[in-house]
Amino acid sequence: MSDSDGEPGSYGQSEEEERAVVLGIDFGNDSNMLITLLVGVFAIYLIGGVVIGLPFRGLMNQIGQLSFWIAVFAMSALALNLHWGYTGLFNIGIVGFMATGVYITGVLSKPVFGAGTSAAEVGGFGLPLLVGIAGGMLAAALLGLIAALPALRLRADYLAIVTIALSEIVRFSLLSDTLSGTDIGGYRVGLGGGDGLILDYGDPLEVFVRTASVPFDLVFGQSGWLWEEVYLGVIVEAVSGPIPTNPKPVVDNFAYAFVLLLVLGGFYVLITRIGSSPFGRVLKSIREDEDVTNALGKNTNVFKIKSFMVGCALMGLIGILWFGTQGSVTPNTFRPRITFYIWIALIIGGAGSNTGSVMGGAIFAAFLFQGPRYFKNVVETVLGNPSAPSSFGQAMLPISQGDVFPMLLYVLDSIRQLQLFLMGVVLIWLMHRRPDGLLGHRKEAASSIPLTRPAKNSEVATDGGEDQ
Amino acid sequence: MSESDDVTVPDADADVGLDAGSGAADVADVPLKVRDLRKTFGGITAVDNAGFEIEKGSMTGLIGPNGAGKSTTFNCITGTYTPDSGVVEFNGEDITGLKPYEVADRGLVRTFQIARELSEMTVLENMMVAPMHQRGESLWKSVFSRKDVNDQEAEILERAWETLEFFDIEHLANEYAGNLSGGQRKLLELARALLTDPEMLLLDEPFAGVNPTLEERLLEHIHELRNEGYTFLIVEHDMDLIMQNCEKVIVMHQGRILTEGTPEHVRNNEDVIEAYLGGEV
Repeated sequence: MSDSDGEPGSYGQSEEEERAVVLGIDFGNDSNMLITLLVGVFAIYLIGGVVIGLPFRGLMNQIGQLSFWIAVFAMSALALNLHWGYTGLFNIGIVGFMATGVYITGVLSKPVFGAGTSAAEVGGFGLPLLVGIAGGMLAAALLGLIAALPALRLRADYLAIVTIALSEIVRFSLLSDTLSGTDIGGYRVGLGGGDGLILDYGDPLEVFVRTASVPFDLVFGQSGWLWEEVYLGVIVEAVSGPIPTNPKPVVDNFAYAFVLLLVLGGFYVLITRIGSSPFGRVLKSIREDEDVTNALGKNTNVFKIKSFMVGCALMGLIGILWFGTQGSVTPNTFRPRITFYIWIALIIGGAGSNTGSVMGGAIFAAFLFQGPRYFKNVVETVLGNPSAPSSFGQAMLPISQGDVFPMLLYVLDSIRQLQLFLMGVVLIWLMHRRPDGLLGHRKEAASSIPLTRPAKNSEVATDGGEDQ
Repeated sequence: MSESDDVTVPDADADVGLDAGSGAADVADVPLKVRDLRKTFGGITAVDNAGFEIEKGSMTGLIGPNGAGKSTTFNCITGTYTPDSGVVEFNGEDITGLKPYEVADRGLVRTFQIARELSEMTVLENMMVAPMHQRGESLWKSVFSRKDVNDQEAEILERAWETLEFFDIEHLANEYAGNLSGGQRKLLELARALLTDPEMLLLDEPFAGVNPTLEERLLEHIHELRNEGYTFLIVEHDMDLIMQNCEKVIVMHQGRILTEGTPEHVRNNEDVIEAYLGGEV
């Protein structure tokens, strides 16, 4: 049992766990642990790239992509942590909220149907992208409300059923011919049906940079100063040294990943603030025992709905940032598998811990999602790109002659399929060895101030402490 | 500063909820009135036209054999169940069928038969959930107006410490509630309920599974609180405990109120002896 002094470090954990120092790095410190992890991941990728002699451009692309995936999965795990880790809401329809976000943004921000649009396509409302993003988040939040209203009155498991069904309803609605295109108030808009939606609202990165440029524009009297002068004029120019031909896409990748990491930082601050406040405390206590929370005078349904809608809006935003730069979206991208990727990321990191969520997202992105594909590239390049057998039979045959090499090549070639298998194995191992995830055993205090004993009241009240 | 009053030490002697215009004096003396309460589950009548009144500042015991309808009555009063018919009045206001949080909001706070601590939260966190209408319970303020929230948090924290000290469990403040012993959990539950600024406390078997030493302490605390003006209604199995500590006892049997009165009166009541004690006394 901990002592009554309750210094900040002694919050619900033993000293040994707190002071795990390896190689001079204090792993008990969350940010050190996170930085070590990220540096390690990037080092592995860089070394791998150097080993196979990847050209500088390819190497940079890999790093840019890796940052993108880390940011995307870390953000998703954080949003899910708000639902599951804090409030105990079992949301397995994450992908539906992502799809809603990116589709609604598309519909709102695509250019108006006109001469430039092909006849088979639909147009949009032509609103600015930032308005579209706000609309997409709002739509995801409202969808969350629709899911929550009937389900939150019931027991927790019903929310799971409702959300996964809802995410499939969203996907089938996106596939629907009826909703694929129609005229609303003179605008020809729709969801595009099975062909998907072309997201021709301009480059999001450019929009973000130009928006960030607004205060600079006032100073320098030039519209889009940050984009024209700094981004294109300085950064892209500088990179054209090491990458002489067409450096912009490489820099774009990096810059967009950087934007995502900034958003990730925002997510972290937001969700940490929510968690470490009286609001978050009520969420936590709902997770522990809803009846008790209710008996303490809290309207738990309102808290649950708020938490759910905020999480859904964030998931909508992730959908926009993730899929919104790919030029187009199709409904079948949004299969439940993405939802389960995010659950794996959260479980690895540890539900209930924000730092854990970010770490889980990073580990999932680096080792389970992007890692196997990268590994395949590295090994294949080292082996001189041999051709793998095209079927299982052809891979098995040489084994009888004692040659396992074709089988190994076949396995390597099927790594995209085996990835899911690998994720399953990791999950089972985690459930056995570390069911709380990396940091889930360590809960973050649900209070906006450190829970130390107030100094001015250190002498024990003799009157029973009920008078002031 | 009216908001900060919410989180300062409860002043149970102050007139609370005297908003009912008519019969104010009566209401002030008898905060809780239950009339003709009836609740059935399928074909079973768990509570059958039960009615009683609880006086302000009193400590009343509600006893009866298993299945007498004590817990159901409790749940009907606190909003966990909606009664089929009957009226529950608190401070002159009809609170029949209100949600549990609405009942608690009016100053009528319950504890549970099996101590229900929030096990993966520390004792302090458990305590700090309780104060009502905290500023930081607004999502907006918790994110964007931290200064405001922090000021109130400091007050709540101090009050939580003081209450823990009152119950002599401040050494457990940073322990996870799930690690406490059964008796400590009961103490925590009572302490937590106090932080909601209740006017009246409904305790559902507060002494079940508590060792005699802790039981003694729990009783002391309850007496002390009653002297400060809190009103108690206690459901309890242990006949002797109730007889020794409550000035009024209500006996339920088969959903009905069998009798009520002083422990002396109840002890000598023929019906009670027959129904509940089985001639044991």
